[in-house]
Amino acid sequence: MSTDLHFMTIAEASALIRTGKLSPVELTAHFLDRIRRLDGELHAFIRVMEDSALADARRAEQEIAAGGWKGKLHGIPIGLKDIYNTAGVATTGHSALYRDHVPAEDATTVRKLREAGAVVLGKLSTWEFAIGGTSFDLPWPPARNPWDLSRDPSGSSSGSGAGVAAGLMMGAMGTDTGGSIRGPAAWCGIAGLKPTYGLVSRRGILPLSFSLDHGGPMCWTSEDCAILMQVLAGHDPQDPGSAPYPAGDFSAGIGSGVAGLRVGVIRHFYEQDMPAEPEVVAAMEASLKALAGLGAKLKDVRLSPFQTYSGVGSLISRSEAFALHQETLTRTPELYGSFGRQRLAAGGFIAASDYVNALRHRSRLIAEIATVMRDVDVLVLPTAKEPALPIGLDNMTKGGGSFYNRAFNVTGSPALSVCNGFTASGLPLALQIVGRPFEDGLVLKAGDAVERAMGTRERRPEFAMEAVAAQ
Amino acid sequence: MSPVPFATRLQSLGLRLSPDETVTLAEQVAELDTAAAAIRGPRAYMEEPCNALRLVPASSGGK
Repeated sequence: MSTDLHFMTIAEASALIRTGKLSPVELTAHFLDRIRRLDGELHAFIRVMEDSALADARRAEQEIAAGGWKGKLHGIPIGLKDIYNTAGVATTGHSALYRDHVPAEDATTVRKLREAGAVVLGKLSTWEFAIGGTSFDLPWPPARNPWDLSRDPSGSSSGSGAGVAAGLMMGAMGTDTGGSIRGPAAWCGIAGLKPTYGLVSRRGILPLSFSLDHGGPMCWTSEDCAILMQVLAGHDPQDPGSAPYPAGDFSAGIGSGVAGLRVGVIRHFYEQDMPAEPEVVAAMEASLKALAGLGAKLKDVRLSPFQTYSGVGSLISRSEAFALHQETLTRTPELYGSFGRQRLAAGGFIAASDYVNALRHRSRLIAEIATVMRDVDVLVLPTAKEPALPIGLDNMTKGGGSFYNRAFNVTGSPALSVCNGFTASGLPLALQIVGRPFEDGLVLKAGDAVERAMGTRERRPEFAMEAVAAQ
Repeated sequence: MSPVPFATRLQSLGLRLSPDETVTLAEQVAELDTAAAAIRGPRAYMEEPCNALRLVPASSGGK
């Protein structure tokens, strides 16, 4: 267990809070102090909610002292990507267009987190409307990567990834339409789960692509993601994509290993379709060795080429995003950043017939992955083909980009990114674990096993460590 | 039939972008065109995306 408050996991901190050994007020004040010291360089936050966070923490402390402990999130400081609606607090989408957008209600997920006693520290940086890329022409600067401030944290949940990795919060909410939870989780060295489509409500989250949008947790460990999922998951009649199925127990498999687990390796994605860099492949092979050592049964599997999955996802997401933004994009283009303006405009050029074809092909890909997963319990592959790139490179317009993520937005499968090593220069690398629909708990169990076996959770960014020494 | 110039397509959508942005936008559109071309072709009726019309009889109480 870490003795630094800011490097404790949610699981560790909640055990201390429950028994009165750790004060939610002390914990929240500690994080607010770190945000003051570090976020001037990191830019994980758009808005720090200091007063309400301390009020939340005081309330949590009183409730727990009175015997009203609500669960493992009670008194735990978290952050929200600034596309989650917060009642009475601006939800900007990191855009000038929504600078003064103050929702009347919390998103369903935000309401659930508050009801569980979580302390909301503030609203976090994102790519503009979760699509615009790392941009320098928006009202707020982009988040930076705490492992190397000259590097990109990826996005679109950039502040969530950077903030959790730097120890500015214990967990955060991200969203994922084409990889926006798993990308920053990978490049910032944390765990991030894109849940099964329909498992976590999107009501009150600024939409981008209704058939591909997912909300989910980003934390230091898979175990902590499971703790958040226990609160987040569940049917919401106000989200038309929400699935009417029971949520299950996401923490049940944590710590129980992967003996007997059947693991399919999508080798052709990262060796042939979009070759990964040697250090990524080496970390992948080390992960496979670790899984085999834990008793998992490995075999290679074959799907359609990654580019087919990625292309279908792009056609659907760009079409749906343009439909959402068409009116404001044509009326007030100057209120968008340059990248956001271009990426949203591209969707206007997709023929209706091509959008329909993409939806039809999506059904084929969903059936394909279901067939493959009759013989394996999870699929594994790297999350990214390369470690974090220098900030300022627009990595979304050439080829498939840096990530193997979009495939599983197309299929709606649960997909988790966990840290599985580091480059020689100290940048994090990541493994992606994909499950069958609604088997998110199994995916988290496998991620937890990999994290424990590979020992990657002991290492933190020097940026965060040096700041500790300076305190 | 000659292809419609990119600038004309941009204008017909009511979009206003700078010349620099138009160049990179055209690259993105070309990538999307390639992706679309790769999946055109005949399909089985079972693959029609008609799930939006999965209606239920009123007598079922909407369930």
